[in-house]
Amino acid sequence: MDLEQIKKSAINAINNASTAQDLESVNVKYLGRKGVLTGVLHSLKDLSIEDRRKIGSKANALKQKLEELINKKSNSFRELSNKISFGFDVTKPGLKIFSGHLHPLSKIDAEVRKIFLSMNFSVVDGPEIENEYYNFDALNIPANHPARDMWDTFWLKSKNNPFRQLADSGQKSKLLLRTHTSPVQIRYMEKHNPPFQIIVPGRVFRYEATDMSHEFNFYQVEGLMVGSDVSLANFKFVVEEFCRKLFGSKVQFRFRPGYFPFVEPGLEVDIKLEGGGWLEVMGAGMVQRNVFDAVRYNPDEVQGFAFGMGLDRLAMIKYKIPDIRLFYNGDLRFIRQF
Amino acid sequence: MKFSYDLIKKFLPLIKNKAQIIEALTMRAFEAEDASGNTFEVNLPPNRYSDASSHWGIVKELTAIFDWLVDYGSMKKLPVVDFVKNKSTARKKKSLNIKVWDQKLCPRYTACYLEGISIKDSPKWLQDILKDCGLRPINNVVDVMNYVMLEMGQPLHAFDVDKLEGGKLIIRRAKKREEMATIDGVKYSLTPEILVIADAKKPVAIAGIKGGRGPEVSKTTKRIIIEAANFDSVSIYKTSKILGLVTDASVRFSRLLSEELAILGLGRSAYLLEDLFGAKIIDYFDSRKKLLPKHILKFDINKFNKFIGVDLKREEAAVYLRRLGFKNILKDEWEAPILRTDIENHEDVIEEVARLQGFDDLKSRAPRVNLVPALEDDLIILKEKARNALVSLGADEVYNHSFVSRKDLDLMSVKIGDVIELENPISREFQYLRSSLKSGLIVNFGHNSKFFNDFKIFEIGKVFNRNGKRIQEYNSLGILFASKNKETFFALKGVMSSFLKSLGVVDFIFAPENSSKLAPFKEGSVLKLEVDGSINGYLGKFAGVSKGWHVSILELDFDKLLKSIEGEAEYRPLSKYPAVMRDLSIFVKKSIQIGDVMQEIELSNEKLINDADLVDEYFDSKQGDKQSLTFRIVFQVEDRTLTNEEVDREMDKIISLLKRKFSAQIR
Repeated sequence: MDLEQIKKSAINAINNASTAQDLESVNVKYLGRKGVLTGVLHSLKDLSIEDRRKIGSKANALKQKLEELINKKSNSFRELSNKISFGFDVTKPGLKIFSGHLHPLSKIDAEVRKIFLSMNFSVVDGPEIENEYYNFDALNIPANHPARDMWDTFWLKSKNNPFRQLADSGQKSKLLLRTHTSPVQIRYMEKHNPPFQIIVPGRVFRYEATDMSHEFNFYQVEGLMVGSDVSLANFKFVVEEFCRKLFGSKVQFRFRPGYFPFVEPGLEVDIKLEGGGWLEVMGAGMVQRNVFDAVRYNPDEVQGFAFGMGLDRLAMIKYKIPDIRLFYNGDLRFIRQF
Repeated sequence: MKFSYDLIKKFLPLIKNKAQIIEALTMRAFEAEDASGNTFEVNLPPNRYSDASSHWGIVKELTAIFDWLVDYGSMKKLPVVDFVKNKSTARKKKSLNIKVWDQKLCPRYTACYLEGISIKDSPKWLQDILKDCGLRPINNVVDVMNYVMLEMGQPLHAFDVDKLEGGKLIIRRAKKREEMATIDGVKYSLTPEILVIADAKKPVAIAGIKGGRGPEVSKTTKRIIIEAANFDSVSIYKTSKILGLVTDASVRFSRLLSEELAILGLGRSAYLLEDLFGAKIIDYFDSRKKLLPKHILKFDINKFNKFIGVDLKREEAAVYLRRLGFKNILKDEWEAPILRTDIENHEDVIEEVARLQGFDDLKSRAPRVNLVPALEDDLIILKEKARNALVSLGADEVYNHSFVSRKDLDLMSVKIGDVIELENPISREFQYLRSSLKSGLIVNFGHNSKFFNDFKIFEIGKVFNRNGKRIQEYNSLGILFASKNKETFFALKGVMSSFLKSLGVVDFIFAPENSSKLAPFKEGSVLKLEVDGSINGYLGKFAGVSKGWHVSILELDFDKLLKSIEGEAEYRPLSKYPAVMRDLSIFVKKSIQIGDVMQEIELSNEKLINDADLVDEYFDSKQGDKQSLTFRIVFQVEDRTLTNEEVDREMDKIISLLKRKFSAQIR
């Protein structure tokens, strides 16, 4: 092969190389230790001085030229492979797809309902405007009894309007905003027979000044389980299960006496999370016999427990929210944290 | 209620410290907490005032909890003059003239007449206990009255005999328009509902609440009558509310004290006046002639075990009852301590045993649950679905108060007669029950517009209104879209369509609402939402926003929506044949409503037309009062491929229809 042929086929081969590997084999073929052009250069020593000079300079020029071409092509391959691994910058931030946020009270409400549904408790609703009978009398909180003072009440204005409703007792009963979800106990029992177990989440109202831990409207979850042998020990089981599911298995409990006219014995439940102190979360007890009387159950045949807890308080504990008022001011800087 | 640790310790030297008391009471009786200095605070339930609203009562409770044997009968540390036992010795002279005219409101009245009183300061130890418990020392007689109340729980009152008209006391109802000034000089108008203690002429005390000016103990007092009575709890509670007068005595009497407490308090105060200050007991009076009936209850251990869920033995329960002062009469019959007015039925006794045993130690047991599937109210499920749908469509959820002000109502042009007013609002800002969620959302908009340029919020909550005599309460859904510089109306309209479909609402349309008075919306920018042919809510642009902001609000009746939800989505076969798409551009007058044009297209051939959409619109002054609209029409049938000729024919029909109906020009 003369130099012209070598030049032609080499340049051709370089141009046709489509991968870095192809190019390397072209390099080896022509410029390698046993390469074609290398062979020509080695054979120079056998030639005359004149030929040696003539062919030698040409061969060297060709070698230089081929090296140049191979380098150039090789660079282009490197760029290409760089482009494949670096040109597509996967570290750029993802597109921000905005999704809204549930209110933390809706979140905790959903969680509480889910836990109780898993324990076969049904979820029941009731009205926010109540009458005195359902909110107090039927729950063994008679008029003119100091126990009523435990619930500061918003009354509906009754001047020349009919804000009294016929209660089941047949007596006219003054209207108010329910101070607890407990009236739904009565409403439910009037229409259903035991055995059953229900929870009642909902908004309740108290006539009191607002501060970090008080709001004049807030949320409660009421629980009620009635059957022929539903005991206080069963109550402890249900509440412990619930709190462990909501706050984790390390939660500690304290069950101590409490007073609510519609339960007896009455209890209060405190919980303690890791590193914290005791926190009151629940009032509870065995349903008082007068309450069963009010819904025409036979208190000697049925028994059961009831409990009530503040949803706001559970959310405050779970999400470490310091001020209850944050729930009701609609500030999205707050809502969007949940 | 405040208690002096020193006094408890005096009665019960075994006590180590306050913390021990607080822990014991809290875990076995009622909530107690530490207070400053020498005191602790007890949150006494209203049904335990009779036996436990005193240092003596707390001591009894503690001995029961700790099982420290204390003989309840003897009260060695609380010597009293036992009037009942020593009738003859106590009555030296018949010098008391007391008549109880109203036995119902005053079940028991006891009194003691003492002479040889010399008014001075009481000793320091006594003053200290009063101060610890938040009372101000006055003089020895008044201080002993207060001290005995703290010690035994019976409110007492002392009258200066020499200042009583006719030297007598009558317990009667006040006469109409009768008046009385209390010791502090405040005048009260009385009514016949109110029980008073009167002398021959006028009331000298509001029974069970406060003494009157005149016969109160003063520096010159020499002879006194101590009153230790029992009054009807309901009457005292009512009177206290009517007069707006709450005193230590009224709080106690309205919580059903035992009649026995009266004679105990009387004996103790007489003893102390005699013992400390040399007063002489001359006479005593007791309106009750017979002993109080014993309160005997059955305690059934089987019922107890079933109720609480334990396996306690009869003898174990008996020990707890004895510790609490119950006396075993017969096998299962127990006599409750005389001061325990709260023990009325079997559950009351069960509670006593259970709490003394300790709720904390009770072993929890899984209940037996019937295998009936748990259910959720449809509305609760729908609320949750709606919340999740709206959140996924980019809206944040807010909660607002249920109360609004007159100003809020005015913003909505709501008539006061249509809303519900509170009798006792917290303030004028929260005077009415909200009849709409809009005002809350508008306030939220104002607040959040300081921090965000573009946001969507929603609330689901109860609203209230009244229709003549009928009060209505229902769940409402309110949504507000706000953006600086960007139109939000159509975004809200589009989102609501997706939302309603996702809930399973099928039959709904948005139709222009031309009524001019739909505050707070801008006139001409309102759509009514009709579901199943009836109006369910309105979507409109909020009129009152600051420059640059676009705020659109929709509110709908959520409860009503529930009724319009079609059950399950149902499968329709996918068409095997391709759809044909055609665009149609027309000029029509600006006054022509796009919704009408689209409806006309869609209805022109419901069999062939699968969908029609507005894909472009523009308005150019060169075209005068005309707007350019481009619609994309999708033709498809399920059983064959449509030919071009068929589609062309349909397009021609549509074009001529639009020309005829809207004078449309084809572009």
